[in-house]
Amino acid sequence: MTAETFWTAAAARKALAAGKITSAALVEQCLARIEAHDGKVNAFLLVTADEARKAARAADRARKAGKAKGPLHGIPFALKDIYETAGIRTTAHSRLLLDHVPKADSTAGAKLKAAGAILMGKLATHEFATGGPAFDGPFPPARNPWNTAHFTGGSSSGSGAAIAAGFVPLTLGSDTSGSIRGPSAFCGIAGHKPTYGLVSRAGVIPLANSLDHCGPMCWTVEDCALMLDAIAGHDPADPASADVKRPNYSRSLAGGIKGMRIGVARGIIERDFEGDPECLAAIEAALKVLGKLGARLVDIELPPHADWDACVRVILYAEAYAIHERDLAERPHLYAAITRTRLMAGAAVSGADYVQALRWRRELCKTYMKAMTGLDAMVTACSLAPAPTIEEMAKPPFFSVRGKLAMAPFSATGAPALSVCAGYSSSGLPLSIQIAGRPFEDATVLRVGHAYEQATPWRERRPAL
Amino acid sequence: MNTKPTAPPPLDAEARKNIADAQAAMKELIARLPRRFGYADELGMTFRAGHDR
Repeated sequence: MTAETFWTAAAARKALAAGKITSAALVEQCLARIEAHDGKVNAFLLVTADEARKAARAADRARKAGKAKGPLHGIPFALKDIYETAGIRTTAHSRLLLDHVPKADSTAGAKLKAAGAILMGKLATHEFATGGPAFDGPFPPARNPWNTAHFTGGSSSGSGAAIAAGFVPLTLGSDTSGSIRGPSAFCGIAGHKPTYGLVSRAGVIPLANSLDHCGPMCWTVEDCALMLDAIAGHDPADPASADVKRPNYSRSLAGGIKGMRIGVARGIIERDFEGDPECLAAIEAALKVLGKLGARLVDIELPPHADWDACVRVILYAEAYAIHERDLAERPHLYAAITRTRLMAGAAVSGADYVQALRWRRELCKTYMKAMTGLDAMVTACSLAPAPTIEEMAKPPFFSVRGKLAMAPFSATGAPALSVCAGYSSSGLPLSIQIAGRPFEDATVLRVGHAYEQATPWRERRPAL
Repeated sequence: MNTKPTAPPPLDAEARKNIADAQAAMKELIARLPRRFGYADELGMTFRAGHDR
């Protein structure tokens, strides 16, 4: 057992079931790897080692007694530090919440525990899931394990970094305007933003209610499906939670994509951004792989990305400003400069502006569904450039779009969207594609992603820390 | 005894400039919003994923 061992949840599950490893040993491996490398990566804000060891011993006893709790029994996970944890500090990476110790777990965190998973700790985030990377916050920003001079993406920065670094096999992130998919793209992992309403946000510190999603960030799509099986489902504690029939996402991965009709949103790839040549080549190569797997690719048109982005950011910052209005007035100095600046942008949105954006969003949703007519899924870029340096991203201007992230259509529509690794740049940074679908057709999106992953060698490479 | 919280220190010029820049950028986003919606579109502001499935 060494700090250099990597585990996926699927592999750990098989090894645990076969008695080839214990949960206690798995937890020790994760702790050793965190101890050895997190000083460079800053993925964790808090490692709950004692609690994890205790839970692992209990999991091993339960398994021995034939009382395994569920499919994630004994497998380590970690939570973005906006997921509330009973008796464990939950800071949202902010000075404003350094003493915040919740009384209850978030619904998603509680479901993971009920499925047998073991909490290893709390992960870095951009402050309140929006302000980062910041060097003036209470904790340092997470760094990209592929090259620690580079940005992880945000806001689920610690989740992306922890998975890429192999610290834990399972994490939860959150995605309001790309915060699962961006870090997944930059860190070379699989990150799934489920359909809006599929996973409860109860007990998760909000950024913008009508756009917030909770979802899995893992090394493979298979692990995302395993995690989604555990956390999806109706929750009366979240008013946006959807009461819908859902499939078993893990079992739905099988069968391949032969005969599927997959739309290619070429406008996003070729018209809306000046894509990095290596990114563009990786996307074209990925499309060829999907074609070879038997999918029929069809070019589709969506409105310009700038429209989706404007609609999303007006809604997002109007809602976020309302949450933070009082703290921004009474103790603005406690926020990191980038957070304060971004949240204050919301003060410029009038009530009428907000309502017009909501009406526009409805129209854009209809356009999206029309574009999806006759299609099983859609593929486009996630990021059209590899991860920039962290120093570059930490500088003002704080509100302008400086990256080439193409995620807004799926934020606005609440449609399921998955980022998967599509290779590496010549400098060794991950490249990505984004796979999306109709609302509540997450299983199809994951199936396409899984088929692509299985057909490509990108999961064989890990960052050298 | 009730101790009133002290007022936060004023934001410095750089912080105020960053906020002004962000709000100017937000105004550019707002300028992209269509204003053509009429009475008939009012229900459109209710959001739920999968409305149009």
